Amino acid sequence: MMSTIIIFAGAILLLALVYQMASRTETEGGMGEEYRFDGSRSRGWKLPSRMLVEHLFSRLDADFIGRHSLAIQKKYQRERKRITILWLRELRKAVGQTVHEYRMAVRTKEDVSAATEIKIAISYGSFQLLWMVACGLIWLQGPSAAQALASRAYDAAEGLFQVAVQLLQAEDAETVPKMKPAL
Amino acid sequence: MKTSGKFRRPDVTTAMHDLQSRTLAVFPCDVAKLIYLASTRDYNSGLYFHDGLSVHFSREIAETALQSSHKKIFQELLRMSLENLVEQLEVFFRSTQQDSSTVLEAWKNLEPYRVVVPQDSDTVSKEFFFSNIRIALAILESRQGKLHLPSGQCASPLQ
Repeated sequence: MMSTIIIFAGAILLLALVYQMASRTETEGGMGEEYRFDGSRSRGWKLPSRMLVEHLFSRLDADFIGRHSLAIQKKYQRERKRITILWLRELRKAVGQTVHEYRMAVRTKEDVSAATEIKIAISYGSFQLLWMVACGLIWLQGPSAAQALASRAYDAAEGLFQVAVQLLQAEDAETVPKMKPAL
Repeated sequence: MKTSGKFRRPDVTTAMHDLQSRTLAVFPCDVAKLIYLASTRDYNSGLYFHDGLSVHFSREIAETALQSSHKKIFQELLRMSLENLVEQLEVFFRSTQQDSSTVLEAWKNLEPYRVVVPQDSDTVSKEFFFSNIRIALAILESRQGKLHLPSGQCASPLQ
C-alpha cells in the first residue's frame, strides 16, 4: 500500500517537474510567442500540422540515419526532440487560445448546454494530461517513444478545437448584424 | 501580399505552369528552385517580382504565381525524406560551380537557408525545415572525407 502511494506521488512529482522544465525552456528558448488575446487574430488560429509530426517520426528517416555514424544519430535525435517539443508547445498554445476564446464567449452566453461544458472540460483535461506525459516521455526516452501519445494529444486537441470553434462560430453569427436588402 | 479578387484563379494557374515549364525547369533540384523563388522576393516588402511573367500576365498575377510556387516547393521539401534532401543538397552544391566543401562550410556558418522560407510559414514548419537542412549538412560533411564531389558537375535532376 505504502509503495503504491510512493509510486503515485513520484509520478505526480515527475509530471510536475516535466511541466516546469517544458515551461521554463519555452521562455528561455524564445520559441513561444506571447499569446495575443485578440478576437480577430485568434478566430484564425490553427492547430499545427499533423503531417509534420508524422514526418518527425518517419521510419524511413530513422532507417536512413541508422546507417550513419553515432554522431549523426545523436544529432538527429537532438534535432527531432527539439522539434517535437516545439510542435507540442505550439499545439498547447493553440489549445490554450481556443479555450480562452471559449471562456470569453460563454461569459456572455446563457444558453450553453452542460453537455458542451463537460465535453470541453474533459477534452481539455485529457489533452493536458496527454501533453504532459508526451513531454515527459520525450525528455526521458526521446521523441520516438512519444509518437502514439503525441498523436492522441493531437486528437484530443482536434476534438476540443472543433467543439469550441462551432460554439465561437455560432457566437459570431449571433453578433453579426442582419443585413437588410438594398432597396 | 495582396491577393484580392482583381484577377481570375485560372490566370494564376497558367502563370504558375508557365513559371514551372520555362524558368524553373532549368534548375537541377527543388532546393535550387526554392532559392530562386525566394530571390524573386523583395526583402523589404516581401513582395515578389518577375519581369518576364509580369509582361505575359500582370504584375499581380506574377506576384501571386511566384508566391504560390514558393509555398508549393517549400511544402514539397518539407514532405521530402532526409535521404532525398541530402541528395538534393548534393546536387545543388555541385550546380553552384564552386568547391563543394566551400559551399558546405558557408551553408553551415552563414545559414543562408534561413532566408528562403515563405513569409507566412508557421514556426514549426520553418524550424523543421532548418533542422532537416542541418542534419543533411552534417551527413554531407561526414561524407566529404570519403567522397570527393567534383565542382562544376551537376548530376541528373531529381524531380
